[in-house]
Amino acid sequence: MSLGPNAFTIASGINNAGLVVGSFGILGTANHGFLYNPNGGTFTTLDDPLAGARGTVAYGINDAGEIVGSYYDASNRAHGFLYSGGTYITLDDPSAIGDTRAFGINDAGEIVGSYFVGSGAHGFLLTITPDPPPPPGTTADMILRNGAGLYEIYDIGNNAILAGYQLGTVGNDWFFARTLGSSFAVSDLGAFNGSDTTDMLLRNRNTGGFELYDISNNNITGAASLGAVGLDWQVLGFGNFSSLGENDMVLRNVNTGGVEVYDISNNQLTGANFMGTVGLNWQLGGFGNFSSNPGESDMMLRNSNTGGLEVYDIANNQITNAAFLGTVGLDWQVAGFGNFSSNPGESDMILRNTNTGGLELYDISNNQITGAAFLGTVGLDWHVVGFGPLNGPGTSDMVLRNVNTGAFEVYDIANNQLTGAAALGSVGLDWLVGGFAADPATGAIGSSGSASQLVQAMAGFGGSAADNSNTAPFGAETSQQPLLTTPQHA
Amino acid sequence: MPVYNYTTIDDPFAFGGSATSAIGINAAGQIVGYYGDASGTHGFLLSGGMYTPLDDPSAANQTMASGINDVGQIVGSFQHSSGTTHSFLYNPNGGTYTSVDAVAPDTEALGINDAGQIVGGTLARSTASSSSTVFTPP
Repeated sequence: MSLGPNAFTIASGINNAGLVVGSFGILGTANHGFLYNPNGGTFTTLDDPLAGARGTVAYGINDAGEIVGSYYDASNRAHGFLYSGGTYITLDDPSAIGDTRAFGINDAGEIVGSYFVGSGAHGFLLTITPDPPPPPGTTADMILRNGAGLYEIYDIGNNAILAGYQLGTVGNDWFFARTLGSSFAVSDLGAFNGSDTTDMLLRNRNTGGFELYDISNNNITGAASLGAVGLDWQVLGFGNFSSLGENDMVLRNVNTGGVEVYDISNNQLTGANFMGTVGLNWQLGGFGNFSSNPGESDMMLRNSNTGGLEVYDIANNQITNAAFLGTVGLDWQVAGFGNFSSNPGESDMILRNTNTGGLELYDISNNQITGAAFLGTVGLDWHVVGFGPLNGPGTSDMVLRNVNTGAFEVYDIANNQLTGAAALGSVGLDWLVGGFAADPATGAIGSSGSASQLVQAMAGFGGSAADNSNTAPFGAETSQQPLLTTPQHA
Repeated sequence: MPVYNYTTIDDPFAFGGSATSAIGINAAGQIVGYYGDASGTHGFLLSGGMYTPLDDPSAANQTMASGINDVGQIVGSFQHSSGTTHSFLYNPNGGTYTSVDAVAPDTEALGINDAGQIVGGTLARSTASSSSTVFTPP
């Protein structure tokens, strides 16, 4: 490589793939690092974004393609850098009084270099211990969408956001399928592709078309068009209605009240069945396993005039049973469902009072309400946005979001009680929650997270990811408030 | 957050204990570099906690070790008594130094991969355009 008079090029490191790093420049101007790929003979310039007038030099590369070197800042002090996954990470030996340079990196990611204390040089060996990966397949992840149509996924475990990834951008006429025409939080994620991990379903708000995105290892790995359904059919939700173990979709006609189930398997609509018509004064409460039949999803409807709650068992794409649960005053709205009782495989319900912000938990088993517990009161500027196993496997926790600040809080729930709370951080209010989902143990959405990916994801957090105000907005109220009337008929 | 653990590497032979640079590391954790003492600059190999000085027999007390591959082969450079810079390949089996001056005088070998490919550059920076090269020694 030749740049002309007074120019220099030095190749400093080579890995086993033959990739070469080095530096070039013209005397009196800034240095630049380079990466040379012998396949195609391409040069890529490496410039640390923090470099000043003297520029960047690259010294070493390992077989993972991680590059080390140094840059000079605006005051001509040298700092080491590690370039990994598209991100420059500054390396300064904490003992340095002056320059630090990183010269070599091995395949284990161990880095050597030198630092100065005054005029004396010392070598250093740097080992970086990465963040532990999230527990595989046990905790829920969250998908957000912003106003520009960009989707991001956040790995959550131990009540903290462990890593985040950009999924990509989809046009603004596509939206979370369930969110169109809905008023409360329901996940638009489910295991639609038969076997693997949780996927995302989007719907075109103009055409009614459905598009399914396979998500694996925090990337969109495939997409499939499912076809279009008239926009008078709204998505109620998802669950295993076909008894085949996969997620299916229930639509309802907003004019007639008809309910239709669509089997989804291997990213295709594989069947549909009309399940019946329910009067329009019965609105969706939600889906869950209320019948205690293992693995099945049932539907709960609520009467918008009386507040009555009715459960419909669904198996083999048919309504097989119905049960009246009782009546709750209309100032209590369904906030969502999850396994709060710690009874494996069951779905319980949380209601919220629209006037007070109070939260009440109803333990449901065998199509009956078997218990109730008042959880506390949260200010009405905090909205319930979802449920999932965010702290650890097994039980469902509740995620609230502040509608004024975008802050997320998670509340651990076990044995029908609040057992803990934590701030997850803030995300700009132009980011909408798509849903929370936990994958089966064999296929975690996030199996690894490098530092660089974390940095990238936090860009979506509006610079305020570290919200330390871990103040539980719950009031101290603990009084039990039985709200259900005695079930009147079955 | 990832934990960054820095361990200082000071060759015990270094002048005043403050003239060591670590330049290369291989998969086994063997580290090469150079240190300075009263007589000049010397390469070193740090392996298993032991520092071994590396001095090319042709060097005028100016040897630097820059790269080590997973086989243990080491490349570096030294200054000849004539003032020119030359490069060497050190083979740990037998402790032999081989010249790798394939391009020109003032060659500085800086890196080596497991296939034995060596990178470096010539040092004629102040006069005309210099060049870098990848070559495999005979």
